[in-house]
Amino acid sequence: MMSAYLYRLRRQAVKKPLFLVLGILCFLSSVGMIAIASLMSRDGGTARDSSLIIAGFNAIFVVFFNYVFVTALSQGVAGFTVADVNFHLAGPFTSRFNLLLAATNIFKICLLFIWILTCQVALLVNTFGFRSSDMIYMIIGDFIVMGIAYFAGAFLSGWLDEKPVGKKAAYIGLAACDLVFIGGGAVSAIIKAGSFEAFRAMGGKAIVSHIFNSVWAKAFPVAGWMDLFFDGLINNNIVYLIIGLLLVIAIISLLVYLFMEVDFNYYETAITTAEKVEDMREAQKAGLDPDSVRINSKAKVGSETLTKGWGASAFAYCHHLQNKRTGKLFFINTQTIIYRVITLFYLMFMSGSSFGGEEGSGMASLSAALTMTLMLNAVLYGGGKTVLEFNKPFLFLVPEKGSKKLLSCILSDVPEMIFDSIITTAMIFYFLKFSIIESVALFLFLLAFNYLCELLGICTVRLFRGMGRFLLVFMRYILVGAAVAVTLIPAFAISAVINGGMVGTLLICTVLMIPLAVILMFLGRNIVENMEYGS
Amino acid sequence: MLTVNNVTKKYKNFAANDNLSFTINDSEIGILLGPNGAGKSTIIKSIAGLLRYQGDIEINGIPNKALEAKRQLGYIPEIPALYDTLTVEEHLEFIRRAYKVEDTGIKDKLLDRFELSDKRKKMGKELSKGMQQKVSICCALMHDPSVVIFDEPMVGLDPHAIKELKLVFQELKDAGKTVLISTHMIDTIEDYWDVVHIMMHGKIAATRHNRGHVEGEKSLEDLFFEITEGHS
Repeated sequence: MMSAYLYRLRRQAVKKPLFLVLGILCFLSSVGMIAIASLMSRDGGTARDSSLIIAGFNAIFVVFFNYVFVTALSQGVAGFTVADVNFHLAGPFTSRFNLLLAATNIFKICLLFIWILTCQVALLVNTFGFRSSDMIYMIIGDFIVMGIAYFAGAFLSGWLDEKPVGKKAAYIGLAACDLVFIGGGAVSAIIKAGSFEAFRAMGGKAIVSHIFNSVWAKAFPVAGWMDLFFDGLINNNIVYLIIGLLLVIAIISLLVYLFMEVDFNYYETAITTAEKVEDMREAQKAGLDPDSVRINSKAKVGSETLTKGWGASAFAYCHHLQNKRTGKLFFINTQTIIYRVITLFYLMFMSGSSFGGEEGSGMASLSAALTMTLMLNAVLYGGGKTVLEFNKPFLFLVPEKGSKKLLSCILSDVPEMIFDSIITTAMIFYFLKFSIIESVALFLFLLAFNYLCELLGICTVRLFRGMGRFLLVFMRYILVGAAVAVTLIPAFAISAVINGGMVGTLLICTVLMIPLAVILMFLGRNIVENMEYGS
Repeated sequence: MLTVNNVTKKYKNFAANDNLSFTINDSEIGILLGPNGAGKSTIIKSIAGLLRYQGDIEINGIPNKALEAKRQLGYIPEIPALYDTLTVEEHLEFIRRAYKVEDTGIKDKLLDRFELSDKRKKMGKELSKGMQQKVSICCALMHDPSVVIFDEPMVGLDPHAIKELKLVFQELKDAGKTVLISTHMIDTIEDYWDVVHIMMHGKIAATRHNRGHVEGEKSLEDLFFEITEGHS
């Protein structure tokens, strides 16, 4: 049975030589990054702080454990394609072996994460003081943590297939672990510091070090134990090393025992959900984040219904109704919250020094936070529900002008953009002590940028859809980067001449985005009227 | 009336439709019959204004991409594409509003007719493929189009829905509408057709008008297999 599976993998690899080449290049670049770590530190990197390194390990392990465990728990039996169902589930393969199939997709993503992580060598060396050996420890630890997380999640997923209460308990259990470790770590750090203000004054690095080195962090299942092992290894603490090692061996042994002894049947769930996976793939082909499809799966019919809209505006009310149905508050996109939490952590960390009151780091922190926000928004507002319209004929069939239909579709996403801009502005206002005028300018800038991202997302999906998801997303980033450059560089120049400062730069940039948006709207109108449905 | 004049649609070097020309008159049911890959769906999508092509297509004498032509056209796609989170009733309401159709109760009539009344609160994602197809048909008929094109409409439908759909074809014809249906299933078109165009490799290989039973004339099935198997 393994040979049949390997044959399929080989055939796929042969048909996609570009991916093989890319894989090899990524591997070689990772090796290069690892080697560079020690060279960079020799040329004057940050002094090696073992407690900060171990805290960094723990943070990475916890994030990876959470992601892989939750994915395996939710998709362990549901991550099959229709082809998998037809050929593997109906074929002469054991249910345990078939469960491993779903692992391949998750591990591909994990490998990508690890590669991205190794590419952050400059940050890891300069902020944490990583060396080459630390990079190797981190990668080994990641693989072990992800492996255990996948098998634990997949086992629970299969075993609890028909017990939704048990599955819910597993999610709650993990959330409780996260809460206890973050909360416990933060509380113990505050107590140690003496007060919340003193805790804040410690700065980002010290806070991270305290929270991720606390006893609560070490107790975190698998991730904390793995970290304990590396803590022992790096600090020559034999007790930590042995305890960590024994705990990891124990959990691996338990999983092997459970997989060998416990009988479970998950085929029915796998078959019923295979079509949803197919829908997600279709959404991915269209350049959408599959999460948006998952959000739809939670929608429920309430008292709301379609009562407004006439002609092209029916699209706006139709999208608005869908937004209301997929979330309790129509102006909140679930992904916005996730992305803003990432921005918040990033902002907290990058503003670590200004946290403590140092002068001059505000602009650097703002630049870092804005870059992160802009990068995330390029994905978040990559076309929204308008892109989904391209997979349906209504946008092309309804007898209204293309520009009116397009504008109507985009309008329904504007409340989300406004809310997101307010949240981001509020965070920057708080952390970087912005004035009211600066905050208003930033809000307008972000709103205009989000709108521009939406238009660019629509144009790129329609123009580059045939290139595949990877190149499509790449093109979107390139175009978003170009749009920022085209508006921000002149804005800086004009602002410097008129001595407009930050407010002037942001406002000029916002104004420059308007003609760009008009051009994109014109292009978008042509796309609706002249492009091909389903192409 | 539907007029297709010298329409060619190419995908790179492959001609999915090669210089197609045909006309379906008012009160006429036209059938595009052909095996998989003959180019039926491509010409249907071109008529619906969803593809770019060379040549001319007119709906009641108006170029098919004009807004007035779109108003007069109803299109039922091969694969129903509904909104995941809109209910059956809301789909029809959305179409009514988008096409600016006054509320005359047609929505309820269509839901009753296709046995969707008890499913009116179900969301698109909760429907089976057959149910989705029924909703798709209701959406296309909602604005009372004068030209209706169906792309493989029977696929996924239960026998009752097929029977009802055939009645709809007949009613549309009796009401003076133009109907075009693409299909690869000869047995489903039976005797309600007026003109059949047998398609092969993107071209019309034969055209047959329904004159009832004519002594010595090959049956439609025999003609179809002679053409399709002769080309393979």
